[in-house]
Amino acid sequence: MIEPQSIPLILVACTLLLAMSAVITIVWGRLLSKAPEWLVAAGLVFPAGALIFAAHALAEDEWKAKVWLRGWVWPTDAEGALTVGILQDRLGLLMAFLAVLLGAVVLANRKLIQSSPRRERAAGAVGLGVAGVVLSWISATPWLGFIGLALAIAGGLIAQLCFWDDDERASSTARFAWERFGGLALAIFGACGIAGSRAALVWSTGEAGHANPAVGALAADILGAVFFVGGLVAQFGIFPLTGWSIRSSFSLSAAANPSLIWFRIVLAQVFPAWAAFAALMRLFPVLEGTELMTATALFMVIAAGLSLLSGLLQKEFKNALSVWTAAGFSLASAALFLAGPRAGFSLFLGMSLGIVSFSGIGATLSSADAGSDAPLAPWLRAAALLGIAVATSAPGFISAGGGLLWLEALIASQPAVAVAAAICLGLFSALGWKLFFSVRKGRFSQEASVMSVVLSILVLFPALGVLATGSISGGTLPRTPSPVDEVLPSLMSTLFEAGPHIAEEANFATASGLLWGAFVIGIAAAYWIYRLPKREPKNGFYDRLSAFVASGYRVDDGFAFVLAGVDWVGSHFTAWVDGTLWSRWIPLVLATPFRRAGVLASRADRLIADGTREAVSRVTETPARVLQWVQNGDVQWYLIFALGSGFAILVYFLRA
Amino acid sequence: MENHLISLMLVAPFVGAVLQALLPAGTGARTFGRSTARLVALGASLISSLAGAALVFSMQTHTADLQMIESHPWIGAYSIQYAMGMDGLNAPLVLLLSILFPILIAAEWDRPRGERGVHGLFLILQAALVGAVCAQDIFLQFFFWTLSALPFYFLVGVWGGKRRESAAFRLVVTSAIGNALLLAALILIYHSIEPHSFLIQDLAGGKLVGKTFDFLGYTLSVPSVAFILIGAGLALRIPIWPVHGWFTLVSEEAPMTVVVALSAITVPVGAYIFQRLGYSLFPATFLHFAPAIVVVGAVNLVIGTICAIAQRDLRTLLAYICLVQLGLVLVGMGSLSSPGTVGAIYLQLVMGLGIAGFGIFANSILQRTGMSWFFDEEGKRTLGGVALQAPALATVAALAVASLLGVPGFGGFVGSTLVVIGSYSVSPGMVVLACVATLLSGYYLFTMYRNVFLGEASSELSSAKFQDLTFGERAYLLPLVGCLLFFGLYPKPLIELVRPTVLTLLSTIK
Repeated sequence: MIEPQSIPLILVACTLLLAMSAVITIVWGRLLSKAPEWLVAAGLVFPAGALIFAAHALAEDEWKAKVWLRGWVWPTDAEGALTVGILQDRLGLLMAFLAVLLGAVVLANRKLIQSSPRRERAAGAVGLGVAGVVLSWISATPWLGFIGLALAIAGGLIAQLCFWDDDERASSTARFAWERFGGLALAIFGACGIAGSRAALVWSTGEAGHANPAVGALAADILGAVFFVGGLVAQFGIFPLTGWSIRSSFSLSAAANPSLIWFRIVLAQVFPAWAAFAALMRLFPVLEGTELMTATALFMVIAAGLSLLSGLLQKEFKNALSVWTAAGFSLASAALFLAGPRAGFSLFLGMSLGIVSFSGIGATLSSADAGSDAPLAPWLRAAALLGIAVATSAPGFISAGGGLLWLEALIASQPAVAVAAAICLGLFSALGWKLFFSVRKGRFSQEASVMSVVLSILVLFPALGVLATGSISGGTLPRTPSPVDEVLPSLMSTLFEAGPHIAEEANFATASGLLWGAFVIGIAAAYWIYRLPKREPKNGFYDRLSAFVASGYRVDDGFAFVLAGVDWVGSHFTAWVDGTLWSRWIPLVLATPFRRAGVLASRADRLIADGTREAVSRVTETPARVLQWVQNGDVQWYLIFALGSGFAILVYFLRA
Repeated sequence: MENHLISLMLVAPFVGAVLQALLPAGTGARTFGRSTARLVALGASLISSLAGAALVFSMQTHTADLQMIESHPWIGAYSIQYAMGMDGLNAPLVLLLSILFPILIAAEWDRPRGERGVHGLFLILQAALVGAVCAQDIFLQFFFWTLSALPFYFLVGVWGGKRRESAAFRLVVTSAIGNALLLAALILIYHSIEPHSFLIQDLAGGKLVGKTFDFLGYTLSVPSVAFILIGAGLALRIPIWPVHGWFTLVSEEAPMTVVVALSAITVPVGAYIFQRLGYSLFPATFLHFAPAIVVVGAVNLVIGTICAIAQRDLRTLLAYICLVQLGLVLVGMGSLSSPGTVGAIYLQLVMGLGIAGFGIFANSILQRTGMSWFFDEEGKRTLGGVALQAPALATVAALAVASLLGVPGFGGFVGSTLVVIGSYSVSPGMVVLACVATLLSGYYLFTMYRNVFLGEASSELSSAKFQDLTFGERAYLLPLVGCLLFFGLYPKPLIELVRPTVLTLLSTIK
């Protein structure tokens, strides 16, 4: 019998087993098996089983959330402690399980996996992504969550590394790595700042909706919180970080690999976004009601709107799909911050599943010049329609309920923001349906299979309104106080006990009007844009404006300019310090005194030597000359006469 | 009871170095001689490393006391002792030396000429640095630290590139000036207390506080002057901007393994010596100068990052990465908070491992292609697509880069996170600077990785076969990569070793 206290360790161990199976698949997959995705599929069984077991244990304890903590880098009770922990609650276990299912769906689409140039990398990337998402949703502390986020990003990176022999794709991959790493680093720095002056940073004491008092001061630590939230939001890839989504411009052609689209969306965008959203959901109770949350939400709404405008002008299907995905996550996060976890989670889940489903279909698109359409084309288009409908908050799905809750909350508190949110939802709808019209008119590859259709529809099941909210319309019909079409118990009500207040009748009507109005106008706008005749761009104002918007508002050019400036400064610093200063001035400054001292010493030495020689020479010259005269005989007789005379004079005076 | 493992760590490499000179290398026995010499070198280094690992693993945690003590009188007339010991401050450095030196010797296995000289000098370097790290007598420490400069002179001057003489000369002149400043500090300290002593335990605990001396009619404070002299002396041996010019030239000209020995090992040891002497001998002075240390670290961090962006050569990029990492260490040191200080010590270890990983993969590329620059002067890519031909090498490089960037799960994450946590309460502005530096570090490292490993192979490489890591290379790179992951996922044992010592030292300072 397994003790309940062992469950956290089992959860972690099983997740690590999945990660290891992914790594083994990446490194040795080709050698071990012709179908290496089975290795990862086997790895998925471990966390799936552990999650089911954990849920069962939780159910036996009336679903009371549990926290298990361990000091990782520091003792748990010390300031600045980095602790790791597992949080067992319904929400985390559900999302982790959905992630495992999503991974299984991706792997089950074997046609797409097989179409990848490196199957083992593709399969391994799925395993890493799922492991990262699972870890993020079950972690009780940001630190373990960061490891989960890093794994999810690694999965996205490795998925793109299936195509690393192409220059353009290599640049795109490096760009992705930098943007996502930058966000992760920002979030880590933020968490460090917050952790610096308080006890261990933990998400929850275990009671749903009640934050740890030790973390309560988080809202007061503005810089750390800004970095933390900013870094998580950066994982979505919205404005101004749309470079990766927009700039990689390789076209969708028969020669291009269709799996590339799916990997970009699912592994490089959806999984990291799920991991980041986990942290945002856990952060919500702490930031609730603060100005930071409101400011962040407003930024996300504006950024999503700008991104969507840019997405509408993209020529490449893949680029538009990426931007649309990023904007969806941003809007869902804004809903979380402005209307609470129920609204945000509903939108997020609906949009995610719709995006995954649609991108799976979009990946089977072929070029217009290809031969006849696939036999399953009508089914593929129907599946694509369903995917878009789920993502864009069509009635009957969980996203519709989430959108309604969001708008209701905004109308009650910030009506102007409600209008902005509705506009963004409309733009999201427009871009989504524009993508659908591209698919509708496009031709599907002969490789498209029954499995593609089945899996794309299967993915949408958790987003069904009746399953999630208990109401057939997804909670979009009037409430008395429960929705009039409620037929099952609401899962959302059990997940989120402290939700937003039921809106007044007036707010409901206004919110419904905004939501459905945005939806319908979005479809109409999409159709109108899609039907616009293609024309050659001229240099007029609107063409230039379109190009500006489509380029992501030239933010990339701004980044490139700044980086070029830094590069210029760096190269000049290097040249000045390493070159001029060290190779010229320092040797000159150090050597010159010594050289001059040497010259002076040499001169002094010469002067002294010459002077000494001169003096010695003068002192000895006269006596030497005299002696010389004596020797050579010229003065001999004079000398004798002088000496004799002198002697005679001396004798005379002595005798006298 | 005295423990002699430290002496074993010290003596084994010396013996190995001597044997390198004595082993035969004549015709007929040439192959045998070469193999034996290499095995002897590796064996000597491994003996020292195993002794070091045994020492660290047998240390008691949760205590700040000096352990593994070994003490004998050496020059009794001047109270100079052969005093060795380990505590939480130097245990990570001992681990670093134990891990890296056998790897460096193995990396020089296939040098075509003069490998015995290289091995012998590396062994001398290993012994000298072990002595510098474990010494508890500052004169002994100075002796070994000065000795460590000598092998570099020959390694650079004999085996370097075109400007090797200039690089070696610059290195030795700068080292000599630095060592002279250190010696001046030592003499000052020695004469300041009665009875005279060089033992750290005799000088610690504020014994120098209040001591003064007269110089040219001025009364100067001994701790302040000695601290400045030590700081300046060490700054000339490790790359503190702007007195780092010798370092970048050596990085350009020296063999890559020598650059690794300098940046990954010697620099952390220099930082450790500064920390040891500063915390133990000059607590009040360190407290007074702590903001300045943080500023110096910030300058290193920012300017190192800016200069790194402009680099197109793996060698100079490595040099500036070292500058940046050292900046972070100094910031942690100057924070005088327990997470910051522990983080700085941990970072010395993982910084060394990460830089070593970077240097060794750069060495592999250099050996195979003959070039280390990834853009030529016209901005054209010279490398590229290496991952296609050498995926194992690409993986090792990716892991080293991940650790240097502080990706969660790697050693760099633990060290840099602790430094940032510790610094935040002291100066939030530093956190902002560090964040910007980290973001820019990601830019230049990912750019380097993309241009070297990803994309299409350049014309120079496309026709040549780029061999992946050999079995021998994998044999020594795997432990390195394993250590990066181990210290990132399970730092607790080492942290529990370091923390009590740090808390005790900080309580003295504050």
